[in-house]
Amino acid sequence: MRWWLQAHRASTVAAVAIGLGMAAWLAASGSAIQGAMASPIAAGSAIPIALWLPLAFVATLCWSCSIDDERSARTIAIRSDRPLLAGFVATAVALALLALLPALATQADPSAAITRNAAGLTGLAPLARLRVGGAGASAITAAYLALAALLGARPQGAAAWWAWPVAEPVDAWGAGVAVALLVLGLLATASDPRAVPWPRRAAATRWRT
Amino acid sequence: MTRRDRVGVVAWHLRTEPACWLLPASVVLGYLAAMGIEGTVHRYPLADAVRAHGSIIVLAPLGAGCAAWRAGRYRRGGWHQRRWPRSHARRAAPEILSTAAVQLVAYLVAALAAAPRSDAPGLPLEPQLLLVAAASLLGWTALGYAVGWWVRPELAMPTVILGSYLAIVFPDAIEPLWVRHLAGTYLGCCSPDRIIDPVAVRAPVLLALGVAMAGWLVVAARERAWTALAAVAIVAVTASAAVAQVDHLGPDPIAPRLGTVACQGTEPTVCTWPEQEDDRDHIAEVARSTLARWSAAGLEVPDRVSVRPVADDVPTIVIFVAPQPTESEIVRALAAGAVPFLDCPGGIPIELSDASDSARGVVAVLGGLDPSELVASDGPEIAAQVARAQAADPAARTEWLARVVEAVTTCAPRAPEPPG
Repeated sequence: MRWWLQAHRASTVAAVAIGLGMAAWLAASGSAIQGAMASPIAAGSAIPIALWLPLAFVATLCWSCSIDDERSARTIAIRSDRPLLAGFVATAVALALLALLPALATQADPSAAITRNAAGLTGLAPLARLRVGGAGASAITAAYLALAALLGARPQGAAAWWAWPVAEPVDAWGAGVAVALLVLGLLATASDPRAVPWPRRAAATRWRT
Repeated sequence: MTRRDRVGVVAWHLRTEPACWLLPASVVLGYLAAMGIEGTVHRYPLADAVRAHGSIIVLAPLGAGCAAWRAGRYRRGGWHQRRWPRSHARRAAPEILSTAAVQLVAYLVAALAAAPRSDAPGLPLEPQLLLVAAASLLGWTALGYAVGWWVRPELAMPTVILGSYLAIVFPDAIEPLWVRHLAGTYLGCCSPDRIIDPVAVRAPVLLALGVAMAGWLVVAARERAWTALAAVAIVAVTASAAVAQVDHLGPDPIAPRLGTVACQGTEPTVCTWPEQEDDRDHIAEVARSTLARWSAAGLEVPDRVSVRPVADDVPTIVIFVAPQPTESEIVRALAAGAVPFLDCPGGIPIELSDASDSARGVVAVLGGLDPSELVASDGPEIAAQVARAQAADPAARTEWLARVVEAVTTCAPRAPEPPG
């Protein structure tokens, strides 16, 4: 187990989760990471820069989960480590949410949105990872966030229905989608019987035949 | 290498090029970005081309991501740590170029697809914007490739996608102002009497080419360490040169438009931009009647009405009119040309600003504008001042108007006393 955690860079993931919490607290308390960005398309929109912070955690988690994707140990393994991986992701998310508590305690605007995005994007990435691998998943999550900010943002904090990461923190739809994505992501990671994500599996199959 | 081999190499490049697979998505997203950007309604080809150029906001991050992905393939295979018969940089060059070329194709298709919405004649493509787009795509692609070469793709791809997106969009709202002019997006440019300042084209191109060269060199840094130093030096030199170019610009990277104007008629001669050809007769007709009224009221009238200043001795009023202007819009444009808006470097004196608004209103009403329109547009206070000036002695009113124009031109600290 210790070897598995070491191989998956658990300490780095934990450090980034705590770093996310600290950065969110700095943003919420107004000490740093201030400022907002308008979409060039939607005049009057203002997306706080702090909303992008969870992406660092998501990318690190993708990196950690995919660390043995191309290793032969994964492709020829008899027993899937999916439940272990799902437990690892759930623990990492729990740690990140715990680290975000001081920011949430300030009740400042961006903290709730950062927490929502951390949960939702962390759910989205494992779902994408099952289809396209870790690199693709982190790229899709980043591209989705950028497109939501560019095309989905609306004036006065509103957002298109699909652009929940840039919606207002009090938006119930956004919070619901984030929680649903997180649950789905964890369930998919735990229950998927495939030992390797799709691109690797295709490559492995080709190699075997 | 036979021709068949060469075709095979090109086919392999295209097959392994993620930008090719993403081309339809790139075109659609680039098109959506271009269409989403608020355009002008001036039928000005440059303004429409700038709107189409907005697709770069999407295409540059996608290109950087694709390049990082492609470099990541070599990384996953461990090739970045091995010695090759050819240098890594030689292998990287065609891959960077092919990714940038595919993104440029996406840019062209997105720009052309956005064209039907445009009212302007011709294609919404400007050579200077194409140059900026090509250089930007090359720069971001090379940077993405370099990051993908050195960093695991799970971390490299979000870094380059979000990093490039933020670097393009975020500077538009921050200071110092020169930061805004290095992204090469030109959002908000241009009204028909303005063009993109040539230095605002040169600077982003220079910086992007420097970044492209640096990114390419960084790929070779494991074999030859000096290339990393060379990359840093190139970025430092090109960034310094680019900043020095745009340091003097204001919030918008614009310069006066100096293109050819088409003139017609006499008393007055009316000169408009080529794209205003359909409106020229209407503008001339209204200008003629307005100047006749001014002349009857004892005001000096110009011999020419033009959309841009002309360097000769002919007395000229410079006007700014929207497409398909109404009669009152033309009269207001003539009044604004006769009594220019204040442009004082040390701040605008409020008293003088009010006086110039009143003078502009008086001139517009004398030219035939309905005073009730003035109440709606300038407010009851200015309208009341205009009414008082209208009721005053014509000679005193004319003298006051001349003194206001002089005060506006010289940015005098005090406004002349109104007549009556």
